[in-house]
Amino acid sequence: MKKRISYREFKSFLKKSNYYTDKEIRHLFNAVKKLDKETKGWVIDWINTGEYPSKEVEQVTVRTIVEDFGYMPIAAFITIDWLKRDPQAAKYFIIKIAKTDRDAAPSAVADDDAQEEYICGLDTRDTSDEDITAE
Amino acid sequence: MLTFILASLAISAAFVMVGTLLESWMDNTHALPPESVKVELSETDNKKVEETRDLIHDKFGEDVADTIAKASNKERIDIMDEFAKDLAKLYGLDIDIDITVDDVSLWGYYSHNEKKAVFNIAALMIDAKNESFKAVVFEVIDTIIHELRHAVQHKSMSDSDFWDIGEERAKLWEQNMKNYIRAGVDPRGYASQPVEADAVTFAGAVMSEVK
Repeated sequence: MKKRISYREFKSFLKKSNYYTDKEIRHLFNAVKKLDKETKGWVIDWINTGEYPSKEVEQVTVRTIVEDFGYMPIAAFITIDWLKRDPQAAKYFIIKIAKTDRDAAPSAVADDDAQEEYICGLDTRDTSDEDITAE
Repeated sequence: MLTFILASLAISAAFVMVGTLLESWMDNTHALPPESVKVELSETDNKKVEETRDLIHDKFGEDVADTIAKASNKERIDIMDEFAKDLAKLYGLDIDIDITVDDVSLWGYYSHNEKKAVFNIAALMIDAKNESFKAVVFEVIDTIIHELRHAVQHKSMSDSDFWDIGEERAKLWEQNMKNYIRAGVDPRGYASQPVEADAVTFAGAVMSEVK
């Protein structure tokens, strides 16, 4: 099975959820590229087959995070990668996030324009010419 | 009364949405935020941290959890309402404070549009003998401080002299608010973005010395 996905495929797939803005999809494309090779491979497999990996990290699996914590799958993959790299921080925030509105954003300053230069927050840099690859 | 009873029954859901797993991680809620997400606080911030601790001491005494444990549910609401209002005043914020007990999954938020902070303390409506009681009390106070820090961030964007935030930090926060990472989109990005890392660091700095 191919271990590579283009920005076009990635965007088209995530668009189906109707959950993400275009800026967020661009951010996620950049975020997934930064995941470790194993997790990136899982993301690509999930996009291609809909299947989650069975491996446990800090007592949880991607499926646990999606089905029990109620996370979107891509957020679950990012969380698994986070648990691998910095378990203390990941656990601390998983608990914090459990008592927040995960969909909330400060609407008073919402801005649909992409940043001209990436400073902080959503990473909307255009890297659409580079595929996500786990080869 | 029914709300109180339902809220009491729902305490498990507040923290145990993922069963025993989160409970096994609960110790994390008492600690300062991990070093990897902490940001630097200014001299004024640290002074406000001290003042916040003093206010907590004034309101809750030497043993915060014990004070809340001895209070009735009605008194717990009144105590938290008074604490949040006094804290907003201490922080120089002209905002409304709303305390509710109707949702165990959303503990608090600040709406800059409405100039209002809402705190949901349903999770506090539990028996003090519950093993999670102290953690819940600390989380409620932490949430109040965290959300009011967001109000401070917002105010500093139009007045960078407020709390001596300075133009650089105010600009960074403004930039972040425009490009905010929702927790549901990218939890790690959410946690590490400037406005959240700052609010977590600030509240954590206060709570680190609270007994």
